[in-house]
Amino acid sequence: MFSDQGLRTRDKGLRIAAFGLALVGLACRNTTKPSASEFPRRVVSLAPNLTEIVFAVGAGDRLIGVSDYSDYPEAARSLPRVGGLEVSAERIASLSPDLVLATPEGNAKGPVRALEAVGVPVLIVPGSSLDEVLQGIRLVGRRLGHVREGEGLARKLDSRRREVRARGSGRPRPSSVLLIWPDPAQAAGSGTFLDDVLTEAGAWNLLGGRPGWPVLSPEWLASEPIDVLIVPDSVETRSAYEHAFASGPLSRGTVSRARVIRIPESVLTRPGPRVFDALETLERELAQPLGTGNSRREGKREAR
Amino acid sequence: MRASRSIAASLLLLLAAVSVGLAIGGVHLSLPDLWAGTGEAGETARRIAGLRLPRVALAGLVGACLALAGAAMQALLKNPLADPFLLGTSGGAATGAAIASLAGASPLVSPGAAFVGAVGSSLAVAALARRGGRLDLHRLLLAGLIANAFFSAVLLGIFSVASSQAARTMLFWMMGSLSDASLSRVAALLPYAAAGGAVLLLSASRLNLFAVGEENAAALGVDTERSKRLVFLAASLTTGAAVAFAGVIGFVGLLVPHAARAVVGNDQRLLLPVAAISGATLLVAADALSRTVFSPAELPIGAVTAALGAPLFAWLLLKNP
Repeated sequence: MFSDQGLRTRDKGLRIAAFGLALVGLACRNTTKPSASEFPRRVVSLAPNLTEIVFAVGAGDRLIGVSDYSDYPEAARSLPRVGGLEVSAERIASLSPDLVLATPEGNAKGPVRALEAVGVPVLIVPGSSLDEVLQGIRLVGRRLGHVREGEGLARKLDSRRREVRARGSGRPRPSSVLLIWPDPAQAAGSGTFLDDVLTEAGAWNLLGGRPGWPVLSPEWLASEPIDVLIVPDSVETRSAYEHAFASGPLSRGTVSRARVIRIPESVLTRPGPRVFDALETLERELAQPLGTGNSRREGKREAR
Repeated sequence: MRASRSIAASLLLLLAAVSVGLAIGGVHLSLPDLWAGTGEAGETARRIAGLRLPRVALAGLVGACLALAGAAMQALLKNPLADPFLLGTSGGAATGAAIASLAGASPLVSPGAAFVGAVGSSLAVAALARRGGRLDLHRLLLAGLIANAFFSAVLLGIFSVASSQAARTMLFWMMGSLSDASLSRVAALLPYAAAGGAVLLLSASRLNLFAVGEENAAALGVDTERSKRLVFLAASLTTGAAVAFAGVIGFVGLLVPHAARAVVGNDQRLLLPVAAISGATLLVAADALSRTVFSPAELPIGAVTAALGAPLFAWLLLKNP
């Protein structure tokens, strides 16, 4: 039935299959072998906040690869990139990491699972509340053998948070919305670290009853009693916000009359050590009586 | 023999695609290096081999499933445009699997949920397209359009209320992705693919009889209603299995059977196995493209197959006024 060619093909197929099985067997056996050194020395970070945490616990020299958006601190900029929204599992594996740091919800679920399956150690670092950010800092410190640095940093950040909380208590809480994107407007809801930032700084999160990162309709924005609007500020997103303030969903109704507080985007929107700077900035801004802070609708006037 | 030569040729093409798929990727690791990865070459080569092999295997299995389902549905409906993607079967499967995975079901269950979605979608589309006891070509395409619109609405709705990772998960289900390939996922897909595929391949001679008309098939002793249901369920199962592990990858079920038919003719006993092998070939090659064109970033696999499939769809439409 089969010609010579067919037989050869089948034979070749069998050899390839055997080769494949051999590879797979080796890959599997490999996963059970414990790592030789005590602490990871070749670390890849898949998110900018994790890169910042590694540097902050004093282990920046262990990083051998970082995500495309890892731009802080300065030393992170020169590290090899492993991709942004679509990271390549093969490229990460080619760096021979002995630890990959990932966020629970971030970019690379598929590649991270694939890496775990071939025995690359992966540490998932939480960050969906300020408590979890502190916990993540301790976790990374412990795993990299910098227990004291991680503990010390977490304790220092925690005490700064307590001071902010104490200063803010007793003041009236202005109704606030913290945007993460202007159009369609998307904001921080409950169960996020930015909801904690708002609450601890003495604001009232109007979206505290909606989980995650809700998208807001222009009608909602125009009719809800928004006193304060917090927006992340960066070179990349500034024109998008200006456009939204000039003629987009932030240009009409109550939201257009809200006081606007701008905080640098990479400080505010990354669940890492610097979000505590954002917390202090926000509390300071809120402490000033309404009207004397940031001139509101600045973007609107500029765009006109 | 012509038949064995066609099968041998398609296997050779598959081998070529697999070799290319194994040899290239996000990092350079040639076949000899991969060989070495089995020996002394150390951990990194082994890990890359361990990433690349399941990925090629998953691409091949998914491609074979989709092409086989497309070929069988085309024979069953006597309609060259019956493709799991165009007719909304994949959309129904993706919706089923997405709901199951959001509800926290294990990956082993999701092919079952995808199967239910695929069957439900196919039944609805067939009901919409039926006119006077037979399936009307134009109504079939419109019914597929309706189903796809409905399922994307459901998916968009689910994900916009679900969580912050909505956009990326949604992209997986709607554009397809093989980035989550691992041995355990390949092993989980295998039984579903094998069961559905075996039923379809064994139904080939009965599908041949359908080509000469249902009445003639009945006269020749085929239990037509039972055969139709069996093929229909098996095609939904293979589609559902493929979608559950790789999301919606369009046009494979259209592209491959057409190309195969042009070469080997319309004898289902030959067409179905050649389509299955060639489906594997196409997806392995398309995945190799998607991994390398914009490396280290990856192109969604659905974008690659759509870029190949859309022109063919247009040509088919012009050819069948």
